[in-house]
Amino acid sequence: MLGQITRSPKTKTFLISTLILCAISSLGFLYFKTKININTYNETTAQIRALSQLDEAWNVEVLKSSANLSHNYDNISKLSSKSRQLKQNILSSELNKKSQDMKILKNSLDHYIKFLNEKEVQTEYYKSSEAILRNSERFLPEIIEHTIDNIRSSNPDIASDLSKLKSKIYNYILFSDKADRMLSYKTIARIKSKIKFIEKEEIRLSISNILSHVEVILELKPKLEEYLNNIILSGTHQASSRLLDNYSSHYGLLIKEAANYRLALLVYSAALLVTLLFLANKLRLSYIKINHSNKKLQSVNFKLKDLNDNLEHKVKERTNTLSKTLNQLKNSQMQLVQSAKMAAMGQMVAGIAHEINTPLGYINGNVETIECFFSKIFQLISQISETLVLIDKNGFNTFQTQQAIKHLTKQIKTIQEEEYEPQVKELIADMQYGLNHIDDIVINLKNFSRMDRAEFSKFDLHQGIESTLKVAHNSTKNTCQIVKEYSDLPKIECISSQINQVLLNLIINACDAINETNNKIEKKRMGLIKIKTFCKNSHVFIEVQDSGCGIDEVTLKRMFDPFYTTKDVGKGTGLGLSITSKIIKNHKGTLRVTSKLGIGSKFTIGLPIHQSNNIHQNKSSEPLLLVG
Amino acid sequence: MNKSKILFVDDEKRILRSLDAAFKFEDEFEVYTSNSAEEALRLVKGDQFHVIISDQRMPEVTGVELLEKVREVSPNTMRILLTGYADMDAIISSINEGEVFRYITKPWNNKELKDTVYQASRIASQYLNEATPLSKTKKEDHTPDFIKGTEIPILSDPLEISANVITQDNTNINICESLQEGILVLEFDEKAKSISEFVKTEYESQYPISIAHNMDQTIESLSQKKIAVVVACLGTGRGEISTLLKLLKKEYPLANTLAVADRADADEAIALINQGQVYRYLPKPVSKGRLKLSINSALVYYNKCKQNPTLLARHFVESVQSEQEPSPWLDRFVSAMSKLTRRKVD
Repeated sequence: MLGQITRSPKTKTFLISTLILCAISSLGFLYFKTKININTYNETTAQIRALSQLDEAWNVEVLKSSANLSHNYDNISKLSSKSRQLKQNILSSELNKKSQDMKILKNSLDHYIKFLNEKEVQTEYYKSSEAILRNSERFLPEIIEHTIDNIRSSNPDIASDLSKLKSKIYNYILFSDKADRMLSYKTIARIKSKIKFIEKEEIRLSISNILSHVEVILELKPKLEEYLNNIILSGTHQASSRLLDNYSSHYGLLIKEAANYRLALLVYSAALLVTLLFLANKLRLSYIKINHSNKKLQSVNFKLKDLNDNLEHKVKERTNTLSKTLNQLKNSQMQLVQSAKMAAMGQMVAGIAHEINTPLGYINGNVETIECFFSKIFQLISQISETLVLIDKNGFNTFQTQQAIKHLTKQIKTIQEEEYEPQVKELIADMQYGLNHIDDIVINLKNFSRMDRAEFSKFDLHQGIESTLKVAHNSTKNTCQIVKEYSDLPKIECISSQINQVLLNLIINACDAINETNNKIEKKRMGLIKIKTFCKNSHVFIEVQDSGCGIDEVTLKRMFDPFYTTKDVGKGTGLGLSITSKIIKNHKGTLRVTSKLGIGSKFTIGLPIHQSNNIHQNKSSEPLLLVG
Repeated sequence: MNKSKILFVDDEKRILRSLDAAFKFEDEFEVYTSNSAEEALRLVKGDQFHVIISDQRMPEVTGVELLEKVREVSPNTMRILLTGYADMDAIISSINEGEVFRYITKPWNNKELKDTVYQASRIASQYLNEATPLSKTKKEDHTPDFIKGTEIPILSDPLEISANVITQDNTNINICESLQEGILVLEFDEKAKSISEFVKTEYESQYPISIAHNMDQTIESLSQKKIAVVVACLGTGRGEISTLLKLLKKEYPLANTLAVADRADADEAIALINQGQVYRYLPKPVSKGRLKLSINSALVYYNKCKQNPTLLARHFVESVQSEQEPSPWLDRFVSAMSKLTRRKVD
């Protein structure tokens, strides 16, 4: 199918070119057929006519010569050679070529040529015979007269015969009468019979000479006449005219044919013209069509271009919209993450608020209480000073002074009884504790706020562990004992605050796990957290092992998911381990967990000593939450 | 005059020490502290406490859970929640289950706390000092009486008053037969239409139902009809409605208010406890059963309060602390209320 489609134009082109070629060649053929060389015809006709005239002239010359009007054959020879030439011309002319095809024409031509050739032959015969004859005729009278004169005397008989012969022959020569010829022959026979009687050799010889001459004349004269006749009546004229007739009729035929062909040509041309016109019209129509469709195409093209421009514009617009949407999406995703973070943070903040509100609550209360105490004490002091003034003024033993002292003593006793001092001390200690607690919380918050500005730098992990333990001390102090097993570590390239966050997270988790165990058995017992560090193959490792409750399988699978938590509301955000794993990933580190329910868990962090090329990448790392 | 026994419950000993130090020298109070809910409940069971002030976040048991138990054990003990953690669930259950007198957030102000506790102890002492000591049989008896609903007990014994005793929703009908008062639905929002429709279909046969779409209609309804229960939809203009509920409670404490909130709001709910003594706070989605139960319960409690107006003291409210500008309808409201009170007196 495809091949046909692709081949058909070629075939079509071939067909069309063949058709055009045919049309042109038939046109050419027709034209060729209509083209008649009238010049050739005229020339040939002229030649034939010239030949015919020559022939006539020839005849005249021959007649002239026969009538002894001309004494040589030059004219005849000239004519015959001319005629030969013309003949050759004719033979070499188109006529001869044409006559090959045309039987009649050929016949007439051949006939004519034959006649001409014969005439020529006859002429030659004539010429030679006439020469002889003329010679005899010229010599004869002289000899005859002479002989007659010679023998008249001797042989009168013979002489008369001779004179008779002489007249006869002359007659014959002049008139060519057959009777004369017969008489001449008889005379000759008589003379011959008488000749032997002549004694004289000389006469005999001359007589026989004469006789032979006469005989020649007699012999040649009819022949010559015959030749002449042949020449004159050779039929060349008729043949020529026939040839001319034939030729002209042939030519007429040719003309007629040509006329036919012309007509055909005309018709053909007309047809061709019509076809051409038709084609032209078709071409015009198709041109119009093409033009139309071209215009259409142009307009479409224009539209297309317009559309294209529009499209570009639209694409730009769409791209803009899309990128806007993408940005919005990104934003909303960020917002989502952010809101998730905010939710987590809100939870944490609520937790922190509670954490802060509790110490704040009692500090606040204590301050008021202490203020109340102090107002009493200040009141007492003013009373004391008043009493002292009284002593100073009135002396110690006056009644007034004694009363005042008594009152003072009673008041002091009350204060002592109400145990102001230990209470105030206790309250202040509580306040100090509370303030420390708040301080801790604030430190945690500060660490949290530092997270965004983290950068890679050389960091002593042991220092990190120590400071983290200090921060976590609040949680660990009543929960567990810390066992450290440090080996020599190089400083590693890391974001120290993030690593601290990881460590804090792991330690707090360990504490929670230990507390969980304590809650389960409803007994408070000190747990154990073991922190071990070691270095291996360009990585440092930190193990945080606890004696807590362990992690069940479900939790093991999900514990790195964001917001997955097993802790109570407000205690955990579910982000601690997910952030931990993210931080470790950012540091190209590893995090492995092994755990056994009821026995404890071990978290092993591996961190590369050198960060190769992700330093810049990590500068823009997302803000991470501190999770306790 | 006996000292009022007050009990502080908190898992943080420093809090307890601080509270103890603040209250121990007050002559009116006999201060007890407990750092576990378990112990507190034991104490309440063993003795008559006027006021119990509990922290919300404690290990094992939450403050609301404790107060709910205390309400069962000793309904006349005034219950106050003192918490540093504004947990929405805690707030809502402190209203609906704990029926707390006050919800106080940490850090507290000693003087204000003392005032509140003093108020509560005064209210509680009205009953406790007159009442015979709690007997187990009585406590068991009162509940079935209500559920049967054959008759309304004369509430000489304040211990028998509990708004939440009705647990089946088909019990109110006979009880409240005598009520001439109606139900007012505050529906300022088209979205809340389902509430008014529900109230209409459920209660129209027994109670006059008024539906108010704006403040004018509300005031008109309140001034013309006796209203037992107000069902307020907190949606559009919820601040104004909250204020109205608070003022209503202050001026006309007999009416019980139910707030159906399309979105729970901690501060709003806390204010509605302390300044509005809202009877129920129901964040959406609210099931029909829940709403019906709440309305029934409110109707029953209205009847009780009507029978025994001294109960109303238990719902003494703090003065309204509205951040909003004085509402234009305030004067009309107050005058309407005064008319209502006068009419009631007449």
